[in-house]
This record gives sequence, structure tokens and C-alpha cells, in this order.
Amino acid sequence: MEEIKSKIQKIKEDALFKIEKATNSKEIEELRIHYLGKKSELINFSKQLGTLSSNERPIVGAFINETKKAIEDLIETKKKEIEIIELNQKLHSEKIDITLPGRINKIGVKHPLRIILEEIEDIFLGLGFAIEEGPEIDTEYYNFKSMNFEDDHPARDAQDTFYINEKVLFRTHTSPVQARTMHKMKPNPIRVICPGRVFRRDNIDATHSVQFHQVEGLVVDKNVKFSDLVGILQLFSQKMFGESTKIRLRPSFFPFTEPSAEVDVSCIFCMGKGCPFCKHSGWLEILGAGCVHPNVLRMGGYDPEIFTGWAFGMGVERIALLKYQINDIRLFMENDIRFLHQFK
Amino acid sequence: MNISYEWLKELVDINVEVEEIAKKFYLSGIEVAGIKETGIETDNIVVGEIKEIKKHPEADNLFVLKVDAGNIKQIITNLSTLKEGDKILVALEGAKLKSGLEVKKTKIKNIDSEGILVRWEDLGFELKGDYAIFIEKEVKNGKLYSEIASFKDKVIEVELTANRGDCLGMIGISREVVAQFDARKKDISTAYKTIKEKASDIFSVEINTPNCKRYCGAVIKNVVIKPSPLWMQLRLVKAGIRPINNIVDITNYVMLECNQPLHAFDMDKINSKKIIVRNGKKDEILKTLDNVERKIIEDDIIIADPEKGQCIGGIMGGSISEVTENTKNVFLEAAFFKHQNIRRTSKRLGLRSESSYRFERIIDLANVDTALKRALYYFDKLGIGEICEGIIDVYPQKWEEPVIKVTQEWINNKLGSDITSEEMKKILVSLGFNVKVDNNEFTIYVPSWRNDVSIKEDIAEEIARIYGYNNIKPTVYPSVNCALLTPFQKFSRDIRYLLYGLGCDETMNLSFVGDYLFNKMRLSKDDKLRDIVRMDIQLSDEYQGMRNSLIPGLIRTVSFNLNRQNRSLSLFEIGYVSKPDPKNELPIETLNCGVALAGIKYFKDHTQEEERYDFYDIKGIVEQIISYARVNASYRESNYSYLHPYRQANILVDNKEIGLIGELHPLIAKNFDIETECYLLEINLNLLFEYHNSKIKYSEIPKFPSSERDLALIVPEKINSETILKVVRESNIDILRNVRIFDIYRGENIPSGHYSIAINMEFNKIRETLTDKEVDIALEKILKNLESKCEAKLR
Repeated sequence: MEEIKSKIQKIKEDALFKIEKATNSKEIEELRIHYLGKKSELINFSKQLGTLSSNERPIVGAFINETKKAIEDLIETKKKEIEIIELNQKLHSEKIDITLPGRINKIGVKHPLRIILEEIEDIFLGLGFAIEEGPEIDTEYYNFKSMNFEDDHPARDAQDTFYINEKVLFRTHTSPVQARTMHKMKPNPIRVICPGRVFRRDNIDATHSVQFHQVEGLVVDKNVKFSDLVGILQLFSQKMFGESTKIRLRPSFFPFTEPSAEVDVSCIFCMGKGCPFCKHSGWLEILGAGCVHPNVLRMGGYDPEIFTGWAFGMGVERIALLKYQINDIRLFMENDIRFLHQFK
Repeated sequence: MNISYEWLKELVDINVEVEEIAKKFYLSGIEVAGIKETGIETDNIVVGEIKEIKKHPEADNLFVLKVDAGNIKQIITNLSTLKEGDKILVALEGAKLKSGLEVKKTKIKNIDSEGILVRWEDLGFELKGDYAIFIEKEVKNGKLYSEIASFKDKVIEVELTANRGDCLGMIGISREVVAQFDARKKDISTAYKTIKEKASDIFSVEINTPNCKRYCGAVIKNVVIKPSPLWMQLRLVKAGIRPINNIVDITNYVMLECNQPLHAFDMDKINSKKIIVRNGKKDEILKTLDNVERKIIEDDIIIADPEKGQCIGGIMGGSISEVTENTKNVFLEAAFFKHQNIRRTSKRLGLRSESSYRFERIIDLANVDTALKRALYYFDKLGIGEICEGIIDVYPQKWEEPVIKVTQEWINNKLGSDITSEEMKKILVSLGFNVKVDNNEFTIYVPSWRNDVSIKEDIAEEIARIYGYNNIKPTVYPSVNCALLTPFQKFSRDIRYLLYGLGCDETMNLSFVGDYLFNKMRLSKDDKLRDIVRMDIQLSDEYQGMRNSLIPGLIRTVSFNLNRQNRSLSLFEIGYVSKPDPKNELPIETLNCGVALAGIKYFKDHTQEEERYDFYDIKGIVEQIISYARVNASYRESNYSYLHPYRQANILVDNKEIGLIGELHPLIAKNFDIETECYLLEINLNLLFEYHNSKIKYSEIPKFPSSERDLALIVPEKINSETILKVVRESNIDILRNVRIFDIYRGENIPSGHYSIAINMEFNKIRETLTDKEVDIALEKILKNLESKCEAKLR
């Protein structure tokens, strides 16, 4: 019996020694098979237990089990150790250059004019103005007559027009949408902005174009005042150009408003101190505005003795040129993607 | 309009700096373009009398002058209009001119020249051109220029709005200054000496057209034509008008002062000494001052004598009765012509003059005679001739003073202001209005020069303008309006955002198209793309009318970018297009969405190989848009000549054509220097919106696992994939959740004229487990349908 026990002891020591020295999971597995597998010595000893006396049998059996357990435990422990080492080796081999650029799914950019248009639209939606649009090709009636432009009046000079025929033209401003909206809405109150593309006959160069975009605004209701117009434009300018923006009004002339005003915004670059962008005046001319002319109201179907209103208009290109310090209006129409991609 | 500070001070008693005046103008509605200083400081510019003119022996275009400038100097010049005896300004050695040039003695082609003839620009005036400055004979030779008149001045350049024609004269401007600065206006004289002979005994005037509302005339006999005094010339030059001679200069001077255009006739050239103002006659031709024969129409206003037309009234004088050096007797005209006629004639003939510009903006009907008398005052003052007594004044319908009634309350309510009644009255009076106040109600009499004021609102503006717009406190009108984008506005905005997400850059292309583009696209004469709304006058073959499709503009932009080495293009535009509508006055405008893909989709890098855009990229974009709109689309082969004949289709929704996709035809691409495949798409968003479904309804997520099955089929080429999917979907299998194509194969083992298509199907029951048997039955049914309807065979 002692002989068997010492043999088992020998196996145990041998096994523990070798397992301890193992360095990879393959080796461990080989050792497990060798010491604990079906054909291993220990299993052989177990099979031979029957040949021992009933006194010896439990002692040797317990010893075999004890040995098996010790070997198993060590294998388990060693296995975990080696797994971690091996995982670390694997991870190490997977090292990458995390500074290489990522895979980009391209996202398209908004056109700079669209950025400005949407900003304007969103501010006025917030102020309770709905959005109305009108046709780019319109009648001479809507473009001029309904806006109180007299026939053969020099006021028409400012708007050199592309005519289709005597009665139909490329609209020269978004103001005709005022009249169209009035015809649609009368006798209900109106509070709308009208963004859109407009056209003027001109020679194309860095500062002139044949097409550009405007946003018109119109309010018609009972008891609206000139001072309300000033208030709205001030609010708009603060939201558009920054909370500290101030506005300044200068008398002007538009056939469709009376009184009429040019509206300057304190220079967005120098905050009114004077710089090359504002030609050292501290102000940038941004809007035209005024109270709706009674003739326009009347033609629109509103009684000017009951209803009053005001309107304003601004050029989208003008704002974009200023805001992004662009020096050539043609860039907006060329759509060079190196230009467009700057407005991400 | 240029405003001389020195001149202004003659009309208004004011003592503020010119900059201050300009600032006030700017803030009260007179746009100021700038302030210019005139004059220079230098010695050695003196009056010289031309004693002798000889041709330069070695140069045909040069003359050698002997000039008495205190002592005799020899000066070489290229001016050919000089006469012996003329007095002019000359710059002698040491004089420094505006350009910085210092005058030195020099030799020109071997002849000595001791100075130069001075031009206006040499003295710091804007008037350009080789014109000598002529001086009155009375001025002594050798006299220093700065001792004759003051050249130094400041000039405010203003840009007037179309309603303020009254400010086109210095007197009008001075009225503004009076109101702005509460200043005193100085009186101007219209007194002059006359001879006994009466103008009306010598000359007569008849108005035969309603387009001339007043015609005044005067007769001046035995005139002496000579240069006008330097002070007068200076004021003309500062206004941008070239001095000619004393008579022409007076007409221009009074026009600048009183805003009344005048015209001087050589009276002896007028037949029967009678002016008839009439409409143009049919086939009438009139030779104007510039020696051009003008075709006249009835709408023109003609100043004629009983025999023939002399002038186009308000536009340009005629060559027959022009005042020349030989003129002895002058008939001077001051008239009022209707602005509409002047505008139409001036536009038609392309003749825009200082005179037509003023008539168009309506002059002062009540003061036509005053201006004429002011001119006569200068004839007298400059001693030009003998002025006959009286003036002729044909004035069929007198001007009536407009009256406006308005209350203080109305004005304050309109403006949202709190201006006192006294202040309102003061402002109006300072502007020349007569005002009666009765219990805060104003009765306002509008002066004859303010044609722009006719209603209460105009009065509100006048008061606000002088009170100061910026003194009106801003208020905010409360709104209870719930403003939202309309469903269509939201729809188009969403599609725009979808396209950004799909990697497309937004472009805004030129709306104009024309034959240049269409020819480059090799479009046939009757191609639909050529059916555009055309302008009556076309700028060029690139700008003939409004686009009816976004495609040509996108091709142009793709080409532009590729030519600038931008090699990866995914562009879109959402914009309006117009199609002519023969039934209506206005064309049909729709909001379209166009996309163009060209060149490289991915550049090669450490993660992927280079990939170029192909047809299925543009198809994918269409499908995303269609899926956003929640509609079912189908595709029908199309035949647009500018697209690849076998890679193009119409997009159909509910069998209605809503757009197209395709690859640009390689020949057209070549015409546009597009050396890569280019894929195009256009959708009519208005149409898509009509069919779109904005309702989202939740459907239950299955709790039980799905079964998938694949089928590999061989089908004839004539059966396309859309048909196959349709047959599968329409097999009426309620457990079929999804079907997709996962492979297409042509080649080995596939009979010719056929291809292999592999589809994957997902089956599922929402509330219970699916059995294999159920799936097998479904699959069998699908296969049967495919076999019978698509001639498909299992591969």
C-alpha cells in the first residue's frame, strides 16, 4: 500500500511541478490529459483499487481523490492565469494607430443663403409670422401696380425688370406676395414673412447679380403702429445679429409704404465703433421698411380707415455677404463645393 | 445731385459745418454718398490772353500759342477750339496741379513750351476732359486765378429718392436745411431792367397738347455771347455741368438753382416768331442738338414753329434753333411738361438729360415763371442783352393748392408717438406748408413744389422725418398667432434635411437658362426642356428665360466643379421651376428637387478602396425620398435624349410620373467637359406631396422568432427585378414580412438571355410560433407564382 501511495505521491509532485511550469493553454491541456485523462496513471490506480484490501481501499481511494483534486485545482488556477496572459498578448498584437482618420459618412452642407434664410424664418416663426410664398414669375399688376408703383414713374428705375411680355415679368422683389396674401386673407389679420428669389436686369459682377433672395414681412391688423414696426425690427436684429445690436431708421421712399424707412443695424464687426466693413460709420444698411401705403391696403381689399399695417424687406445675399465676409456675390450662384463646404 | 456748400450759404443763413449738414441729410431721408473738396492751393496759375495761334511745325495735332500772361509766354497745346483773343487759365513754371504734376519749362518736338493750359480737373474738380477754362475779357492778363473767384469749396454728393424731385434744385435743398436746422432762408431776387419793347409784341406761344401744362417765354435782344463769369462757371462745374457760354450757362445755372429746366432758342431761326407746343406727328423726324435724326411719335411733346418741329420738349433741343456764336436774339423757354410723357420719350430715345431727369420727377408748376424771371435777372446782371418787357405765360389750368386734413391724434396713433400739436405745426411750417390748427385738427396746404405729399400718411412721414424716426420709442405689438410651417413647407424642409443626411451638398443655381445650355445638351428643337418662359429681351443665349427643370443648372454646376478639380460631387437643389401654360397668363410653377452625383464616392484610404458613384447610388436616394413620403413608386424605362439610353427611368407614383433618374449621356457629358459618370435625379415635390402619406401608425413588433428562406431563380432578361418582387409581394402570403434581393448573377451555367436572381424572404407570425410546414406551403405558393408569371426556374 505504501508503495502505491508513494507512487501516487510521486505522480502528484511530478504533475504539480510540470503544471506550475506550463506557459500556454495547449501545454496545460496536454498535462490535464496526461495526468487526469482516461488513460492516465491515476485513473489506472483507481481501476486497481479492487485489488486492495478493504482496509487499504478507502485510504488509497481518498489519497487518489485528494491528488486528483490538487492537480485539477492547480490546472484551473494555471489556466486562468494563462488565459489572461494570452488575451493580453492577443490584445497587444491588435494595437492600431488611433490617430489615423476615422471613416466619415459624408453629410451634405446647407447653402450659406439657406442658413441665413432659415435663421430669418425661424426667428419670425417664433414671433408668430407664418411663411407665405408667391410665384417667381408674376404679373405686372402684382409686382408694380398693386404695390402702388405709378405707370411711367421713376420709382420703377430702381427695379430694372425682365419682362416676358407687357403684363408678365420676373418679379423684382418679394413685395407682390404682400398683395397676394392680402387677397387671400382679407378681411382677416395678417402676420407673415415671404421669402423668395427675385430678379433684376443688371450686369453681373462682384457686387451685382441678376438674381437674389429677399424676405418680405407684412403685418395688417387694426391699430398697428409705426413704433410696433420699430419694435419688431429691433427684436429681429437682436436675435439675428446678437443681443447687443441696435437699429437706426432713416427716412426713405418706397411707393408701397408711407412713412418709409431704411433700417441700419449697428455694425456686427465693430459693434458700432467704426471699421472698414461699415465704412467707418458704425452702421450697416440691412432693411427697408414702412407703414403699408393706404393705396396698397385698399387694392388688397382692406379699408385703410380701419386697418393699418407695416411691411419690411431685406436682402438675404446682403446679410450673408456681411456675416461671412464674402467679397463676391457670384460665389453664391457658382456653387463651388470648396466654397459650400466652408458653411458646415 | 451735388450740393456746393458755398452756394448753399448764399441761400440759407446758416453757420454749421458741412459734415453736420450731411449727417442731418442722411438721417432725414437724403442719402449722402460723400463729401468732396474742390480747389487746390498753388501759385503761378494766371489769366492769359491768346495773342497768336500757330500749328506746330512737327506735329499735326499740336498748336503753338503766344499767350499774354502778364508777359508773353509760349505754350504748346492740343486744344483745337481756341481763338486768338480768348482768355484762359494757364499754369506757368512752378505751378502744382491736383495730379501732383509740377509745371516746368519743356521742349515738345523741338519747340519750347513755358506752361500748360489749365483744365478743370487740374484744379481739383470732377469734370473730366480737355476743356480750357475761359475767362471774361474784362479780367486783366496775368491776374492770379485765386483772386478772380474762390475755387475752394466742399461739395455734398446726395442721392435722392424718386419722390424728392423738389430737392433737385439748390432752393429745394435750402428748404430742407431751413427745416432741419431751424435756419433762416435768404431772399433771392427776380428784379431786372427791361427795354420798352414788349415780349408779347414780338413773340407768341400756343399750347396744343394737354401734355404741356404751362409754357413761359421771354425775349432778349442783341445778346453778346461770351464766357460766363468764373463764379458761375465754378458752380456749374461743381454740379458736374460743363460751362459753354453765358446764355447756355444761365439756363443750366437757373435749372440747378430753381429746379426748372430752361431752353434758349436762337429767335431768328423760329419761323413766324411763334412757338406751338404740340404732340408729335406721324412720321415726323427731328434733328436734335447732337445731330441725330430722331423718329417722333405722337406721345412726344414737340416744341415747333408753324412750319416745323424745333425741339423735343423737355428732352433735347433741336439743331436748327441752337444758340451759336452768331446768335443775336434769344427766346428763352421755361415750361412744365407731363412727367409720364417725358419719361416714355426719354426711355424710348435713350436720351437722359439733366432736364428730362427733372421733368420726370415733376417740377414746380406754380413757379415756372419765377424761374424764368430769375434767369432774366442773370441776363441783366451779366449784361448780356436787352430784355423785352413782360413775359409770355400760357397757363391753361392753374395749379390748385392741395388741402389735407388730419388730427394730432391720428398722426400719433399712426406713428406710436407722443408729439405735441405745436411741434407738429412747427415742423410743417418750416417745410413750407401752410397750417391752420383748430382744436388739434390740422388743415394743411401743400406747397406747389411738394408733389410727393397728398395724403395724411405723407404728413405723418414729414413730421416723423423731421422729428426723427429714432426718437419714436419702439413698442411690441402683441401676437396671439400660432405660426407654423405649412404641411408642404415642412415636407420640403424634411426632404432637404434628408438629402443633407444622405451626403448631398445644397446648391442654388442660376434660374436663367437658354439655347447655349440646350445646344450643349444636344436637345432636339422640340425637346420639352426648351419649352421655357422666355423674356422679351434676352441678355444672351445663356439668359433667355426661366428654367423649367433643375437638371440643366445641375449639369452646369457639376461641370464647373469638375473643371476646378473638385472630384467628388453629390449636389442637390430644391427650387422653383416654371412651365409655360398656354391657358393662363402665368406659367405653372412647381417646387422641384434635383440631385446630381458625379466622380468619386469614396477616396481610397486605409479603410477602403476608391469607389465611384454608380446608378444605384442615385436610385438609393430616390428610394429614401419615396420612403419618407410613404408612397409606393415604380420605375418605367424612359427615353430622354440627354441620358444614357439604357440607364434612365421615370419615377411613377400611382402611375403618375413624378420625376426621372438616369445617367448623363456620355456625349453630353463630354460637351460639358465632364469626364466621369454623372447621375441625375429630378422629382416634382408638389406632385409627390399630393400622394404622400404623413400618417404614421404603429404596428406590433413580433414576439416570436422569424424564419428565413432563400430562393435562387433563373429568369429571362425581359423580366426585371421589380416584377419579381411584385409577384412575391402580391402572392397574398400573410406571414411574409420582408423580401429582398441579395444576388444577381449572369454568366457560366446560366442560359443565354437569362439571369439568376437570389431573393431572401422573412416569414413571421406576430402572436404565435411559425411552423416549418406553414413556411413551406407559403414558399411553394410563391414559387408557383414566379414560375407562371415570371417564367422563373429554380436554379
